[in-house]
Amino acid sequence: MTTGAKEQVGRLLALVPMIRREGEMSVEAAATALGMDPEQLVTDLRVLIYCGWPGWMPGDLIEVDLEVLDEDGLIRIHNADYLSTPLRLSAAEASAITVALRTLRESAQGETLQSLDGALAKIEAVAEEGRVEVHVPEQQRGIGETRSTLTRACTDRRQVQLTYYVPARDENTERTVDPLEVVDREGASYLQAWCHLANGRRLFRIDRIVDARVLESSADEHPEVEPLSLTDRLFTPSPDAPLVTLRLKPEARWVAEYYPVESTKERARGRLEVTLRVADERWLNRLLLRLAPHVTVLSPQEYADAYAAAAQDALRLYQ
Amino acid sequence: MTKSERLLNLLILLLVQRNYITKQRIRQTIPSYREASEDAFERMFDRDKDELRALGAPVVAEATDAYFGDEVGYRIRPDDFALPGIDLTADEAAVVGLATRVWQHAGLAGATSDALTKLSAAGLEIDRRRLDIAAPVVTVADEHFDVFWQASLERIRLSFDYQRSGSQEVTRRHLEPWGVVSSSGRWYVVGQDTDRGEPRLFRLSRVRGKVSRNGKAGAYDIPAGINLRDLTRSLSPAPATETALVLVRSDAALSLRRTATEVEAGVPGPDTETGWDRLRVAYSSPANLVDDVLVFGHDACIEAPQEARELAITRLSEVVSR
Repeated sequence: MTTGAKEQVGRLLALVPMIRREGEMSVEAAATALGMDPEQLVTDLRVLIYCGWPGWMPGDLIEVDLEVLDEDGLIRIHNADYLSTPLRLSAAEASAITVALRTLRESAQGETLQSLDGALAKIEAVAEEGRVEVHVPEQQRGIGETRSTLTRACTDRRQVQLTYYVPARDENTERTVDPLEVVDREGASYLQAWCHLANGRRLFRIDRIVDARVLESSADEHPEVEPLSLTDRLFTPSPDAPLVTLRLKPEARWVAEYYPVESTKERARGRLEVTLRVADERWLNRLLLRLAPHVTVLSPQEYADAYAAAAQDALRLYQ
Repeated sequence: MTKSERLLNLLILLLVQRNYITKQRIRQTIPSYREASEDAFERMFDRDKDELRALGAPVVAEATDAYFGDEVGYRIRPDDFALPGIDLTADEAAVVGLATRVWQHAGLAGATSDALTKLSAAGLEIDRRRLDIAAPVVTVADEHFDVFWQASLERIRLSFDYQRSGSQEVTRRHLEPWGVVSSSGRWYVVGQDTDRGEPRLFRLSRVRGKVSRNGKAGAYDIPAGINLRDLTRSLSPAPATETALVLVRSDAALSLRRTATEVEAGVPGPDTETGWDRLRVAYSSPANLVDDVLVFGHDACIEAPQEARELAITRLSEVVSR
């Protein structure tokens, strides 16, 4: 809660109509209802007594009963008929709340979903067109339950048994982890955890978690692991990993934005040459096949050969 | 008179007027304006109006009434001022409080709680402490988000340096922003590109350096019929509505199996090295289906539709024939 004048006026424009409707309210009840700090609210009220109908003669001013406020902690406001309804939602407020509710409904189920839908429809009906919009990616939607299990395990500091899919190996792995935090970045949710299998900090994409079972055992403390900040890159390639140079046709240029690349060079006809570090050749192979034939491996040669061989093997299935 | 008192008194003055009130009348009426120099008054009044508007108070200006000469008159219409009645059921009001946990961005989180304050003031009992569902969060990591969002709200023209996807070249762009949208975790600003005379979308992470705000608020209108929601949806992958049959080796293509609607185990496959299963999977376009199947290399192949099967063959053949 800030102490700026605009914010203070905003709070008063909510408080006055509420008191007018209720007749009188205790400071505590009013503060709770509006999600405000009670002390702040009392400070705000003292502004009101200098405001009112233009001219500001004694009879024009808004009256706050300071006696009952000081002695009984009760708020009574008179002479403010023109402030009998709260202010409509601003464009910023309307977009912020409707987008938040729409995001919530992506992971809600059953009665909560119904209530969210009902609330959203009614709020959208009175709100002006928003100036911000979010589309929740498909992969975020199915994971609501796993996400809440993991969030709870983080809070309760319990170990979790994960069945985790590793795409590069096309394999499900079993591991015990100490969950640290759930982070959302670039449209995907991740669990940051201490992995006892790898004996180190790992990020697990929640949509690749096949199963998560919360164990009885408590999670170990890892004070040395710092929470990820918003600006941290989630993945930093190891400086020892071999460098691979690819030539991307326009259809495959997205790779340069999606993965951390070491360098890029523009080539004729919209092609882009990129160099990236590849820690796992199987990961690269999957990427190349996904991009086929819009990518060429320029170096090293053995990666180019492996790509051609993989394409040949796959093609044989269709003959 | 403190600034809060001045703002609130200005608001009441504009609200209780039946007619437009001229700037000079406003200046004569409110003591802090009266006492300020002409320049200081102009600046103060402009800022105060903007702040009232940001709170949601619709301050409207009307020029040139014959009676007032050239002067601009101001007022707030009581009907536009009031929050229309929202009649939420107890269950609906209870879940609305969850909205405060979605935004990982100070400005948007603040706007959400301001909205909840207004709804509470209107008599809704909002529970701000519900913890029974884990709220997904929306993060805004782009440093330029605030300036684009604010400019969209205030309708202020912007110019900035922009680097196109995968290009080294940076060009100066001029934009009338309409709003900011996020798709798959990436943020974009949408608006009228005044250099090209067309609506354009700019990805915020490709904006370089400082964004300049040019001119005054309310400088342009956002065309009617611009629906950010439809636009955002069109940025995102199409929903998977078609069905394909994919043959996969037993114990392989595990991620594809997870999304399969049906698995037929132990079917004849393209070779006899291993056993094969048939998966029924949903897809949005043949190209997407081929992308998703090719990653499994010689562990998966498309059986149907024929169109996707042929596309897979063409794409693989081109790599092999190089």
